[in-house]
Amino acid sequence: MPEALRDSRSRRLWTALLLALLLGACAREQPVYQNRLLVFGSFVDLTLYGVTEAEGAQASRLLLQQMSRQQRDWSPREDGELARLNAALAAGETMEVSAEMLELLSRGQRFFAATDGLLNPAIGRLIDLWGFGRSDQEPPRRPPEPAAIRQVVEAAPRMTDLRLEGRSVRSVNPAVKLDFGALAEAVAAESAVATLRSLGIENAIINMSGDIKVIGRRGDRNWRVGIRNPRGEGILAAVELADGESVFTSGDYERFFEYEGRRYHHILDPRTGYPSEGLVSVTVIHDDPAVANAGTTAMLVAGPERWPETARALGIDQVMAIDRDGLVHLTPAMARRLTFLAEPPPPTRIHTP
Amino acid sequence: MIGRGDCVIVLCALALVAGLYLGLWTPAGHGTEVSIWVAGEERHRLPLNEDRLLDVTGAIGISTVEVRDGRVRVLKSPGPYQVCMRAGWLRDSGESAVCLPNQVVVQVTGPNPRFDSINF
Repeated sequence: MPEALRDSRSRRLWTALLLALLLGACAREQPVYQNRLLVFGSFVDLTLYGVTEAEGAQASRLLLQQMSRQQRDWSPREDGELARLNAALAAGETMEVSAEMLELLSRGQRFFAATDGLLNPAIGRLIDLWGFGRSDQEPPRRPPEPAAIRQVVEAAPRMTDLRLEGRSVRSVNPAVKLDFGALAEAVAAESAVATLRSLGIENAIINMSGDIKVIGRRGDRNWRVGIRNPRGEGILAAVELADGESVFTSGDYERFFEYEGRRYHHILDPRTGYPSEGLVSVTVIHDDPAVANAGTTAMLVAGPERWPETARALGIDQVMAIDRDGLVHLTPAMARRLTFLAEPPPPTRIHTP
Repeated sequence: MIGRGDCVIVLCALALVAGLYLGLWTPAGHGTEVSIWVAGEERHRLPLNEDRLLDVTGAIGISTVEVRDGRVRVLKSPGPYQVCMRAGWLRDSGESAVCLPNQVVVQVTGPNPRFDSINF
């Protein structure tokens, strides 16, 4: 210990200095910018840490522009590139697409192959038939005629029907109609992160209609996320997300209608043409939002028995799947991450891989 | 040696902590206010400790927001899937209910939010 520190006067000085430093650290709390963008037929909540109002407003403008364009080009119900591609495919024609669209298509094909067709963005006609396409339109009142469903399912539109050569895309099956659903939003989340980084923003949390991607941290701690209870109210569990992680949930509770005492929800099983059965919701933590989205959708369709196979095929090790009896199925890696807050805590079962 | 000055500093620090605790503490994660947004802009901010009903005019109609017993919910809203009503009572800071297509968002806020965002 230096001689000077033994002197009580300089010790007092040191104490005061330390306190000043501590208080100074508090005072240097970074600004937090929050905004809510209206895009993709929903809300995108943006929280940027250590970003001034002006920087945040600039980022918001750029993201809104970028996402509005993506919505136009990647939604089958808009007047953009995907709508033109669908028209060409239905007419048996070949179309040149953008590099971005090519990437979306080849990712769709890879997910289709890895999930054995459980994730199938080629079933746009089935989605149209059910009428679940838009969140702002009246929900269907009753299921379509069984014969109509059978007809679409038997036409067997598959992502493997697409032929990609260079920038040229055609389909060997005219029944293919592309509808990427929430997968488009997941890809948009990834490109939003790239845009934020290009602006020098390294600490952010993006919530796109309930699905979350984070980068960096919130000051001296990780980003904290609550996972809403898919049945009932409140928060089921809490999780801290590390730099680059995303948490996605798909469930039967987002868009549905009831007919003759049965619930019909918007995630369709491409094999049967009817809504998936058995699981209420699936939650995935993964770095890549597209993989997370593909995983939650495909596992919901795979059901309570087969979801672990789908998780393995997609390289996902953090999964929570809730079945109709309220039993919470967890992979060991997910069990380590979650803190259950619901009272009483739900029954859980750990699935060893 | 600890002198009188040290004691004063420590006492001041303790008093500050006690004051902050009394002034700012709310039960873990519970919100104190509700923030109501229409079309991407904040329109109302209400304390959660005053029970009331509020009609909020959105893009296609009126969403009725109810504050009671430190919680808030959307009582009525014109959306086709009624997503925001099914969110039920919201109490924790950061919890929200989103009414589409009425473009109304009800969000609980507070001084010590337990969550930065909610996944659903």
